Amino acid sequence: MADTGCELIPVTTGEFLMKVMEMKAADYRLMQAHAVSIEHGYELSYTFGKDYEWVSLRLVIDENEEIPSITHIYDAAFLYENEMAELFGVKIKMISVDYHDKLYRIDDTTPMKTL
Amino acid sequence: MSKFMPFAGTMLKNLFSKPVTTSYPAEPAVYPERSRGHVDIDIEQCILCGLCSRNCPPRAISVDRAGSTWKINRFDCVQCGYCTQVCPKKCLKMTPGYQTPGADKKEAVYQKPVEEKAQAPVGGKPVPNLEQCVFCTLCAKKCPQEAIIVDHAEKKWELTAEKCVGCGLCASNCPKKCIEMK
Amino acid sequence: MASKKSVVPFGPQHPVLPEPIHLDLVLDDERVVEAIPSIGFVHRGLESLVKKKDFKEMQYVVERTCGICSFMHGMTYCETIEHMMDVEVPARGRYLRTIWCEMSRLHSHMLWLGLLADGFGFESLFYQCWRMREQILDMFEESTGGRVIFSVNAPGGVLKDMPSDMLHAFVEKLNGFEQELHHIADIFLNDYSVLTRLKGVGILTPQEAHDLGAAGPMLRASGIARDTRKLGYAAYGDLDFDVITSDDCDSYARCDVRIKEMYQSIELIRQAVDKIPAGDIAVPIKGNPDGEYFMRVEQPRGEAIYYAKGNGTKFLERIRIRTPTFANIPALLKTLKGCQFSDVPLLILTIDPCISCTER
Repeated sequence: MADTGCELIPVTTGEFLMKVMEMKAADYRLMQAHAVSIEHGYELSYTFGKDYEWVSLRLVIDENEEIPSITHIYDAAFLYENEMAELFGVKIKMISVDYHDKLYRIDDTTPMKTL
Repeated sequence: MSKFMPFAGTMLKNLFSKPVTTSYPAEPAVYPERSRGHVDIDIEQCILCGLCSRNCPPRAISVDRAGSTWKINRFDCVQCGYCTQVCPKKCLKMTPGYQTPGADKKEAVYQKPVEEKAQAPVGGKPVPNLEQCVFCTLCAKKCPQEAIIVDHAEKKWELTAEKCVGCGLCASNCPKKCIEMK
Repeated sequence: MASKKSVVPFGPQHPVLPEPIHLDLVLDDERVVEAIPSIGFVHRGLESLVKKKDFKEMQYVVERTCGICSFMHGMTYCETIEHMMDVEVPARGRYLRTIWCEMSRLHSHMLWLGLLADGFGFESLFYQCWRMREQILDMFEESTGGRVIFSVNAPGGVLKDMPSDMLHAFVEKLNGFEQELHHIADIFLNDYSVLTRLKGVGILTPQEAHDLGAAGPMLRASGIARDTRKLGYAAYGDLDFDVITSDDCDSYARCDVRIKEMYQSIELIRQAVDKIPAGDIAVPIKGNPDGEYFMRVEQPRGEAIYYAKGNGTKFLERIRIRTPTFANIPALLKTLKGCQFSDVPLLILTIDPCISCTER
């Protein structure tokens, strides 16, 4: 398995929230969250870290699949999730501070969603 | 630990000393030797291959092969120096001295003198004389577009015509002089 | 007697802000109850340029994300590509990158000190700080060719060398710079009027800093000792340094941590100039990037995380830049709760906001 700099753990939508809560209980902090546009879907990565080690949860979803927000577990995630929703069109429900596509004030809708 | 007015000494000293700033534009600006001010071209050496134009991040350079001109829009140029790295003839250089402000964006045009007998053949595609060729792979290594594939073991020489820009580097580098630009 | 609640808009244009950010402050008389951020004034969509610029040109786009931490953006991008393609930069190239990194950190903290002085109204101190910073910018122009954007990184190494007489001349200038820094640091840390504005303002407890994911001096001033340079990228594995922290958790602590980091940077540059080996500064790169990689470095404002994904062609599929200010904004919102209205500009400055990095 090629070295990707950070350990990747694949998760499914069903176990996603459970895994995030396990991270919170083990005192990991949220480092970043991003989306990559793939054919008919998205590849999401949520990176968590503790001291100097870090691990990423990799979630592959369909373009119309809805996923829950983690802002009720990790407060700081609202900026990352709003960015994913605005630039890529990922359908995230229940974000604590929802900008409704007005975070970056751009004219195009979901400009970075390809394919 | 808190002090009262420790800045007073500096303030009084500054009141009675001359300013630190230079009086540009009254005095001319002095740039260090490596300063990336603007792009200069040695137009005699240019082979109009167009690699600088294709790789310029802001697309400030345009090359006209038919008219033998090399143009740069100095207001669009961001002085990154990438063109100096990709030029196969190394005829581009970054020299100190910035573009002075102006009212409209002008392009600087350099005309390449057209000679009767061109030194490096421009235009056309390379055709090797396969009987003289030793498959040393030098042409493939020198090709800036990676358009030539040479296999020394199988004795094969192959050109991808769409990639070729007719720069003639393969012909000028061939040790056997067996490539002709047609 | 009922108190009056009002909503005051702060920014995007404000004399104290270096870059535009908008905050809606909910006030209760003179105390801030809540702050709602609103960004997006300088969004350029740099990450979407991967479709049009190949991976070697992309370095020039990425280093223009920010004018202050420009070198480190370029360096992190190059390191990500190098790890993805399994290329090892020669030792001299790594040392040169480290020296330029530490000089970047020096000039960034000097810029911040000047802005902080302007933030609490001490303009002549602001000019003194920026006058000292000019010496470092002149050193950059002498060695790389540019004062702000250096264009000296490429995947595989660096493009320009610094001969040893240039390096020793720089160390001489930094010795003089250090003497002036003693005087300036004395004013920031000991002047009576500065202390009344900084001490006890904007407390962020260690637990809050950890939960909200703060990074950089903001985190280290709350007592948590974490510095990404300890991971040993570039030449940091060979250099000897401690992580600087402070236990006070307020704005004074953040100022103190950054000033101590400046002294540490000068020391690191001296160490690197002593240990730098002779040799090549770059290796050529063959082929195209394939696969994905996560990389993190310590920029002046904190930890920056880069993610790149390639698919075997010369265009990358995705590049993701998570800058430290993006991580510090939730911590900022927490420190703003309960502060006085007149402290708001100062608190925004203590996170060292680089909004053009945040929005790319």
